[in-house]
Amino acid sequence: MKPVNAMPAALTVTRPGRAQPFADVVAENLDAVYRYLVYLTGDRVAAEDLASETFEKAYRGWRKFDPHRGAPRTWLCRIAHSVAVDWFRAEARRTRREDTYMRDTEMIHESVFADGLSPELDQALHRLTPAEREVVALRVLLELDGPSAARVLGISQTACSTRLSRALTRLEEEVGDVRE
Amino acid sequence: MSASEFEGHEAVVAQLRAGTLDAPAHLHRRVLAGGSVKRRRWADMSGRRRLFLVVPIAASLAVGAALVNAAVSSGPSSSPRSEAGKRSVFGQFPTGPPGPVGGLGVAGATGPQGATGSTGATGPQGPTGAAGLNGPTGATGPTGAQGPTGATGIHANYDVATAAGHTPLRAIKGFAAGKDAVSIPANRLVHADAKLEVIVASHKALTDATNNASHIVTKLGGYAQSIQYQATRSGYGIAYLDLRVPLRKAEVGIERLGALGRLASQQVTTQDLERTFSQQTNSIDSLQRRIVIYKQALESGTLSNSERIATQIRLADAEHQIKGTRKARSQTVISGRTADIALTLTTSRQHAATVVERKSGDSGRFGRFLHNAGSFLAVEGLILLYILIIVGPIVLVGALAWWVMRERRRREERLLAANA
Repeated sequence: MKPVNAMPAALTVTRPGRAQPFADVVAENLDAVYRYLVYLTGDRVAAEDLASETFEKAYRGWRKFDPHRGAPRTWLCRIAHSVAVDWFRAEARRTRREDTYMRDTEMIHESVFADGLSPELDQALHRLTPAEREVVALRVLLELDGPSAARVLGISQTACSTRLSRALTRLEEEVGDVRE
Repeated sequence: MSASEFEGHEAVVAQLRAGTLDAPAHLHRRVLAGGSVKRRRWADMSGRRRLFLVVPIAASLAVGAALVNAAVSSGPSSSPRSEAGKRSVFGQFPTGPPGPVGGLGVAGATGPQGATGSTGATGPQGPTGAAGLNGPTGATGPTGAQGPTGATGIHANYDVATAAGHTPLRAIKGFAAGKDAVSIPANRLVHADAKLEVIVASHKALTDATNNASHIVTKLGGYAQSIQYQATRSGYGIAYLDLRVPLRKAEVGIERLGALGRLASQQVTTQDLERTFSQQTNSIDSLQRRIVIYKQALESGTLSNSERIATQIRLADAEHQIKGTRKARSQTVISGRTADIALTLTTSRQHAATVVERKSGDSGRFGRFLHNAGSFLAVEGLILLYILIIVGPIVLVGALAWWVMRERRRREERLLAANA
């Protein structure tokens, strides 16, 4: 986690009844949100843009955030999910207009999900659907509990568990296939 | 987090967690810089907060507008006539307290239509009554003395202008006392129609005035053709009386009936029937002569059978016509000897309020202020209700559309996340 230097005064404002200023929330959760978005989109550049947009939205809605209803990370992931869905929608429109073959090929050979991952695992992650990568990111990397992840995804807890199990199983299969 | 969910997948989970990925430094700077953007207070405000802000402001504006309107409308007691007081009460009941000066005017109209339908163009005209502040100054039009068309008339129309907070009872009483009443010619065969609107103070006064009106016309040799009396619990009451009095007593009758309360409006119309009477008389004379001739011809015995039959038919027709014309002339005579008076008696809440004001002095102004403010608020409430009725269905449709869009968006989200 990177230290936050030269913090703008606006971010240090703490809402009455809330101990944590928004700057601390940024510092604690930016990396996690970024990772989540990278996993979801499979595109680091897009994830940066979406992370920035997510925190901008979060800042605007910071006064509305109720800590009793969930952790800031869950709330931020929910916003990030919404932002990413908008991005997917825009991408879908764009890919209908353009030929994205080259881009997709390029993505497959590029390690985007994390540094230090084996190439097999990286390629296997690419082969998962965004929904599967998303649940993996939330449960494995961000270590959200079942109810929180389900809330972010907008599905039931059972469906979330099922999706996670299938994603991990498929990931292992894909890794095995790549090795073979 | 339950470990059972990762059971059997520990290896891949460990590999995934071994990878490191932090947000780049420039992203940190970008996010923190974006957070320093000045907040849009209104945009950030929740819907409930906006509602809490907007509703009191709208209510304050509504009440403020009502108070300003009331302050402007109520005004001091000595102010000149207000706009509300300029309303004419002719043909309707006064809606405001009586005016200070009445603004009476008499218009001696041109000759009305003759009995036979021809306009009395050549008949003498009543002089145009000049509108005067202190009552009608224009003399009433004389009857068409010997006009060739014979039909002359006076249409005197008194409208009492009313004004909020001003009741010059002396002027009204003077008016009601018949000082300015239209004179109805008594030396000719004239039919008169009068319409009077008289305001009384209370239910009891309305009942008394209704009974007194019947007594007045009975004493004058007339009678009440119909009486319709209505009263409500709210204090409003009204009585319609169709009265008929001998023509020579018409002026007295109008004067006495007008004195039953406060005279709000008076309309007198006269129609000269001399020409009609003359025509009918001439027609009867002519028919009589023809009848005599027919009878002599039949008695002479010089007619052939066919001529005799034709003459008998003409005689029968003439006798039938003379019978009808005589009957019509009788009606003309009866009509020319009577006057019909349509009297409307009413109680007025505004009038009652004025009386109270006069008794309570300066506190009346405050009462008027409250009354005006209340009325204005009621109007605002009606407008709001109207808007709600109009806008309600639109809002409902909008909410439905919003719900449909949201559901559609959720479905899209799931599809995109699963298949993108």
